[in-house]
Amino acid sequence: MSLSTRQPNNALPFEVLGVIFQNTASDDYCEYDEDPLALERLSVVCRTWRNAAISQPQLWARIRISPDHPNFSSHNFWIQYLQIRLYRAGWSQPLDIRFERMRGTAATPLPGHLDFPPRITGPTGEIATRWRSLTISFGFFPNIVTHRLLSFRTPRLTHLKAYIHHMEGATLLPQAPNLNSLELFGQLQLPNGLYPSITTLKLVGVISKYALDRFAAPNLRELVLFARSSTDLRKVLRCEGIPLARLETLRLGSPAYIEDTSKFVYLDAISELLHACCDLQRLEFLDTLMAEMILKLLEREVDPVMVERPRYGPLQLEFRHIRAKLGYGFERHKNVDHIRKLMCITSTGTSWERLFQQC
Amino acid sequence: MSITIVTSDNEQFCVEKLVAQRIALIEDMVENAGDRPIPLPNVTASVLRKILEYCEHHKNDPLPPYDDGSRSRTTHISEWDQKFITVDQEMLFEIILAANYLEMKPLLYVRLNVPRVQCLTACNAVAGDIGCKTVANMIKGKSPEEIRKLFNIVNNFTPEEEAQIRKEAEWAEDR
Repeated sequence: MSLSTRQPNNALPFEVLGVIFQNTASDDYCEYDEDPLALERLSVVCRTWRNAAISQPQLWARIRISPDHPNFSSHNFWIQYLQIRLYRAGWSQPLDIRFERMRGTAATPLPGHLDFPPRITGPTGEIATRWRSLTISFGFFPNIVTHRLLSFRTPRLTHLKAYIHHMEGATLLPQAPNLNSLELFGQLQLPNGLYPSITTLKLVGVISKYALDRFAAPNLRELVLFARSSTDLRKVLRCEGIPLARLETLRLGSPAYIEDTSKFVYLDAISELLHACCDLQRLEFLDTLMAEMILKLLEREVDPVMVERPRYGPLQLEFRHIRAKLGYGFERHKNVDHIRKLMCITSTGTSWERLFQQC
Repeated sequence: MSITIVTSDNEQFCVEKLVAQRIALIEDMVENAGDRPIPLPNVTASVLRKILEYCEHHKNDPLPPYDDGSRSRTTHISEWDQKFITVDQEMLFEIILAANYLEMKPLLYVRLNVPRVQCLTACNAVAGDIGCKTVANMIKGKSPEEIRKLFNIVNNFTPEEEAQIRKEAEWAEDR
């Protein structure tokens, strides 16, 4: 191997150049920073880089469509972009597709949005069989289109994140045997069926009446929940397909708006949920409000939660990357106080009460 | 317990086994080598010193989770890593090449029982990881001409090829 590297194009193997290209083309921190033409730019630097880019179909299989990007707002641009990506990704590469709207944009779908679905599914769903991950953000497609997209066979799909409203009689994800992570937002409807491969479930929004009735994820290990009301929390509690007693990780956040009229009703439901998750190893608070609520439940004298030490050791509490082990027995008060200080949760009993008053 | 590594310029390094095990190639070789020094004919002493500095710092880190490539990648680099990789361009590429040769990521699939083929992309993402991220950060936002200048790359397309590429890229003008 030559280590004469003044000219990286002469020395770096294609797969290493591929990693550099992939890193160059993606940026998760700022959606505006991601340059949809990064790969095109890299592939015109020199012949070696062009060959490296074009010979690695996986680079082109990551497709991110954001038609209201401030610098790329032409509908025709995104259609061409999608076609070229699909062409260069070849016929077998798993596809990671994201349909994104910029934050703060209107919920109305953009003109021409219906041109995208047939291109990413193929006439008979043959392209849908290659989806590995799919993200459909708020306001990209009308609900009926999202339902239609999720009615195809998706045998390779492992991650789905979608904004979707309940629709009577709809069949979602009829064949997704490898689905590992399911994140749903909106007026939630879960697919009907048995999904043994799902280990992570995230629900944000209102849970529709029968949304959980015929859903089963027996191997679920992580649940992320932003429930709007005690009714929603109890729907999760009653769902036989969600094995709360076997959950390892629970991540709870408080919604922007809580529908219950009394804070005690909501707190009771949270308490029931925590009682049901008896073998939890990790409990993460996703915001201060939820941290305050749960710390109160942990130390209250009547019906405190998480009294028993789980089988696999003490529960780990987490808030903004700060981790602390929960204490058991007589030390609980002292321990919760310590955790509160550690996590800088100082405004005990004020902010969450204020929030409820606003409901 | 420690092992001895010999670089291409014949320098010997006595390395703690825990540190050396971060390098998959060496971990594989240790079993067969017994007490004999392990030769690394493709890595110079100055580069190995840097690699070992990295391994020493990260020796107690948990191995990164398996990434099937579907998740988005970020180009964030931690503060220590950032300082570590602040080297001249030549050394930067030497580190990337050496990390690739030393299979610092296949360490992953051995440990996680992930098939090698499936893991190639993931492994590369971890191996020359911070090196590749650093190069990516240098490239971001630059035009092809600026990239050529930055890395001293010669534009070796023929005029015909350039014309063809320009034609193919016409669609991108309509934004």
